[in-house]
Amino acid sequence: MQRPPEALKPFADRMARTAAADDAAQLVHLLRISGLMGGDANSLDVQSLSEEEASDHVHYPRTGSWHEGDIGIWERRTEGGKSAFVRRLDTLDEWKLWSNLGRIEPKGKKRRVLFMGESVARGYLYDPDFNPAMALQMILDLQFGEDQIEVIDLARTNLCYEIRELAIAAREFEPDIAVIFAGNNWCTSAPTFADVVRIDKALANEGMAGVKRISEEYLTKTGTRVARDIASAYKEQGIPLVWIIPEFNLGDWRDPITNAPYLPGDQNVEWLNLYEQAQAALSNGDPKTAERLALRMVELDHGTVVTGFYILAECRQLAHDLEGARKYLELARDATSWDSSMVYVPKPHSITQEILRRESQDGGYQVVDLPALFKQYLKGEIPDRRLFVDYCHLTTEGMQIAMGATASCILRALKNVEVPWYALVNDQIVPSARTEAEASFLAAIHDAHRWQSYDMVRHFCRRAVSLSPHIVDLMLSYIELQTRDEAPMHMSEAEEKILRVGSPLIHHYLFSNNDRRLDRILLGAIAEVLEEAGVPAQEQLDRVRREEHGLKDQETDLISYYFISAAQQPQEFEVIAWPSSRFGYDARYYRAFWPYSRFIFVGEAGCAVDLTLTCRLPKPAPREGQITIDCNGQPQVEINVSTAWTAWNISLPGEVVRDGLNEILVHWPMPEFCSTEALSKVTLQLCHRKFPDFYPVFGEIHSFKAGIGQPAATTVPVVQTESSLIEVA
Amino acid sequence: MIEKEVHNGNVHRPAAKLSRRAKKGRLNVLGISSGYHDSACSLLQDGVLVAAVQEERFSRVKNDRSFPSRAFNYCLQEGGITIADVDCIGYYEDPCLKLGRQIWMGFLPNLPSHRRESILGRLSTPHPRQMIRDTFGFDGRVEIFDHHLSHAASSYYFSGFDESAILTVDGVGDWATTTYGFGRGPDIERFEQVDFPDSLGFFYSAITGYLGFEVNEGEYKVMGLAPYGEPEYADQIRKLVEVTSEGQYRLNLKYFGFLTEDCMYTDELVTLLGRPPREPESELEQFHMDVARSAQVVLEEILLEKTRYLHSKFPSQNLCMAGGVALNVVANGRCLREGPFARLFVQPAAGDAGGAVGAAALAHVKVTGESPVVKKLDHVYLGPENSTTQAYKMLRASSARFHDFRGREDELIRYTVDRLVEGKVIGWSQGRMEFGPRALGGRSILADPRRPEMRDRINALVKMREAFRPFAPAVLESEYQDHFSLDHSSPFMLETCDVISPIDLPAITHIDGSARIQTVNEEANPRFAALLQEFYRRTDCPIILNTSFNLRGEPIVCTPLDALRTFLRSQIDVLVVEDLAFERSGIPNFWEAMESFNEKSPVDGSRIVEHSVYTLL
Repeated sequence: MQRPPEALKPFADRMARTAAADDAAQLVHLLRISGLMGGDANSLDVQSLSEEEASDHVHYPRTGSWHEGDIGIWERRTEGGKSAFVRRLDTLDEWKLWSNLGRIEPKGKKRRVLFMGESVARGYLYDPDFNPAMALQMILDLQFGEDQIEVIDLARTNLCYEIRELAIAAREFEPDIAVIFAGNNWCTSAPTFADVVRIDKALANEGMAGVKRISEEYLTKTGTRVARDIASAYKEQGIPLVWIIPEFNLGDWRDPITNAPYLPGDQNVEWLNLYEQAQAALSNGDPKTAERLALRMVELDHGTVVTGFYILAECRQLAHDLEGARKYLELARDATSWDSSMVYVPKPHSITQEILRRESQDGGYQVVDLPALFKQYLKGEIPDRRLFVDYCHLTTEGMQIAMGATASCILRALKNVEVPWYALVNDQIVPSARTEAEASFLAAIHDAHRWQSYDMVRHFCRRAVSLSPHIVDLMLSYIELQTRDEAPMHMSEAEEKILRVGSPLIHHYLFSNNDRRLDRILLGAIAEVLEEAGVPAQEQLDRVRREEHGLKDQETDLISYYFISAAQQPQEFEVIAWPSSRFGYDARYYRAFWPYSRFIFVGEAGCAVDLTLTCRLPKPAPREGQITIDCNGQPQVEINVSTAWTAWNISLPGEVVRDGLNEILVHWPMPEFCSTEALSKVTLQLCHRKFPDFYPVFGEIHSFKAGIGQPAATTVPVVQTESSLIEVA
Repeated sequence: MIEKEVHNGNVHRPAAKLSRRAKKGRLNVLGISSGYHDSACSLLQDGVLVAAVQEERFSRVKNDRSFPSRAFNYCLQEGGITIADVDCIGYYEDPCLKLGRQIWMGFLPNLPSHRRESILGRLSTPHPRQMIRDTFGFDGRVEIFDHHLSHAASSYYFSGFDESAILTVDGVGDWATTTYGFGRGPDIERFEQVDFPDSLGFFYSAITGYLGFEVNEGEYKVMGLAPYGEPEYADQIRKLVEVTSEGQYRLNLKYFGFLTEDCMYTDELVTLLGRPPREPESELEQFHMDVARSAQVVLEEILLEKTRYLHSKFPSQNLCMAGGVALNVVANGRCLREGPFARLFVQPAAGDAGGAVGAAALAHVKVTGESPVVKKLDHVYLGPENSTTQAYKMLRASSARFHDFRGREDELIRYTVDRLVEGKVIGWSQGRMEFGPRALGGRSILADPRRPEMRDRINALVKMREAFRPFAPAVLESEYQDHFSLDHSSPFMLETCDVISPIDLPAITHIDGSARIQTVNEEANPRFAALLQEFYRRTDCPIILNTSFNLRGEPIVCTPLDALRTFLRSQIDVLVVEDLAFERSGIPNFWEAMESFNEKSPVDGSRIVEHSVYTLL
């Protein structure tokens, strides 16, 4: 090994000092990714950027651990001159995402239907007990006769654009027809450096509207390419193809309300004022004014957030204009396609739906247009919880309709007969009541953990209890599981009890995905429906919460994952929940993205509580501003704060503290929205693979704790229960 | 559907009392080390070290090198302060100096492209000041100190000496790999250093890699293996390092590959020693033991010579040592026995984690002009404290059967001693966790040292590690001189000495008759001392085998839950967490299976430390 010359040491030090100067590291990074310094594997290839603009080349991230030449997790096994496919052992981690199909036999005499798609095709929350492929098989058996046709279920949860690779490869299964149920997971991906270059330009010229445009262009380009390639591959081999265009739960699903991202000039202030006024107008029974104000909000934010659209949809619903409401709900669904910082749920964007319709013309495939089909089925009503368990996954009823229409297409292609879809919808094709109940309970959990309304969560809880009595014990155990959270799930006695139920569904979904949270909405809904069923659950919930999370034994960290999850403020939650991992946020402290912040603690009526709060205003900001703090809706203190961290003791009198859950609200002053400066950082943040600060910050909290305070007040307060905390939609 | 917060402002309600929170401590200084390995954070309050912890204990990623955000938050919590109370943050190395060294490495001809890329990557790495600002939101004073100064401070300011010679030796930080200096009052001065690429740390790491152990982690295994061998290869190994004048030495770089390759050594070393390198996990032969012994001898010779040189320049009675090489307790012992210094203090967290303590101390000096502490560090129980309440809640929520000794400490001690005497292996998690690599009765595995089978049993079934690895004894401070050839206490398990006990202690006596002892007193760890007292009363043996509570490749346990998980995945017989104890028979059957299943959680790659070559970049 050679020793570098000693003489170069001072020179190396000089270079290092230069590189350590302000912005020098930034410059080096930009030079690297632009390829001007030789570049690395991730640097921008300018030539390819030019070519890419002129071509329909697309890139998308791939999930899964499939091997070249395999079909999904199955590899070829040649036996007696014929090819069967068996699951690869090294894809074991992925098996749970697919149908439990160990071996796919060589094609025999039966006609073969390939059924591919995403979790909606998998039958999310029902599978493996029941799923669309099973429903389709049963419908087709009735039409073709027993053992005349087989549905091979290749649907995979979390499949995205890789449906292209899967579908093209799956032709090896020699299908007579293929069905694809995909499009919900088509979304924007983390930008490449070439994308960052475009975003940089778009931000400068168009602001946030430009970011949304680029995202939609990506979606259009990628979706078109995927649909086109699949269609042509099947057309080439003369294999008929049916594409089920997914629909969204427009009626019930609500993405979190957020502030607008940075807008030019004073428009953020105007937007927030419009929001306040529109809310007031709705409260005062004046939807016309609310609509006018919301239209201006959308004009300002260019449709980049859901907030204005939801107000408009509500106004249209109040005016009994279902089509108007549908339009705005669709726009709300599409609003945040550009923004993966928000809690992402799969959804079929209008762009995706349009691509799939359009490409069916040239591609020669049939479509099951679920938006149109569901509209017809519901006689013009907006699709909702009747057909969906969450945002896009179908209920049994939804599956029956979708598979009836799919079977109609298959009959047309294979038998050349026309059977209307409604003639094929078979309400006898259902899972057991037990499965339906468990799926409903799982839906309640799933929806609650994605910030849905109390009403929707309670609906699925109530449905679960009404369908099968065994759900009661499951729910009681779940209260314990979520509330006694010191032990990991698998060490908790509650999980043992749940396991003893012996449900594949619960095992599959609950234990692999459950998230330990305070679950203010969910456990509240569970307790309510159990009480309705004559089971005294509220007392159990209150007691266990008090035992585990009361202030007697220990302080409560109000910005810990467990407690912040109950605040129903997902943007703030994300920063706490996923520091530096999923999105790459730097800050390891709480940031408020809304004019107020909500916190929850478990109190005892009449017992004083001491809060310690360390907070500041974000920079740039006025030197000082005033925050106000409420407890359970009652103003408590006003504090002058600045951009420097300051710690405060706040002693809440026992009179304002309730039994059970208590709510603290911190109202922040209006910040200075320095949009140009803020957005100028976005490009650099993207270059560093950090999630950009698209949204203004109102305040920052480094620590916020609640502990037991002075002895109880002498006067006995009116005991209010926590249920009054729950906002009922 | 859309929430609206109604401000109920016009209803008269009792208002809360508001006061600005009084700052705890006049001066709160935090120290941070990160980026290489063993990221850590520490807190000095008015000059008193009140908290220090490695990030790995929270993230559960061994040697975690990521920015220590959880350790930072712990230090605030332990100090009873918030970010608003932090006066200054000291960072343990100068990124500019380190970058200079890294750029210099880039001047090598024929440097592999990935190495060059890494250097370019370093050029665009955010400055620690920015990391501190972005991560913690801290806009206050940040002081940056060079790597070896932080090491020196981590030892000197906590030694209790008011003047001392200081020797720091490690792999590399910025440029320096070995420094010679002294401390006098609040001041530390350096008068000489050896620069990269000449490094005693790299010398030892190259042998570590050659012997099939993890570089930057397995060096202590080489030290443990050495007594099994003879210095048959010392002459060959001396060729690796040319000892030159004063404090200097030079590596013979033809034997080292670290500048250009992902391997510490070259084929020349293989030729020199005449045998191919050992495959990791393969059988250890006498040859490997002889090589380990030879490397240990050569290291000791050099260190001894350099301590003599240091004494010649600064003829003090006292020597302070730090840096990763200072964790070689066998060499330290020889330097003290045969060298010119009368007293030696080694920072218990002598590696990079200790840099966090050193940086905090230096920042304190910079702010106040005064030394941070006036007395010798007497314990390292500086990490998170177990909460009996939390542990109780955890177990209460489960169907596990456990013994509840809350409020009955005497019974807990008797119960534990009963199990030790029965030959059980105890997982012992008590009080605050230790800072640094050694478990000292806070997060320990304990056993009866008199049992001949105990070493093999714990190595194989409990810690799942190499059979030759020795275990250390914890001994009552009042009794150690009857059992060990040592004339002073050794609270940090940083010295070896001969075992002279009349009791046969096969489980803690190394093959050469030595042991790496920890002396225990009531002041530093009352419950551990009580356990030793009771064991002594029952057995006439004031000694218990003490090893760190972790499995191979994992950090030492931190929380009661970590302890429980490690208990489940090992063959420890009894777990004692604070006042609660349980035995394997009390565990629900499926826990162990579930725990093995949950073990495979993905680890954030940015936290992992590379073990094939030292982390140069």
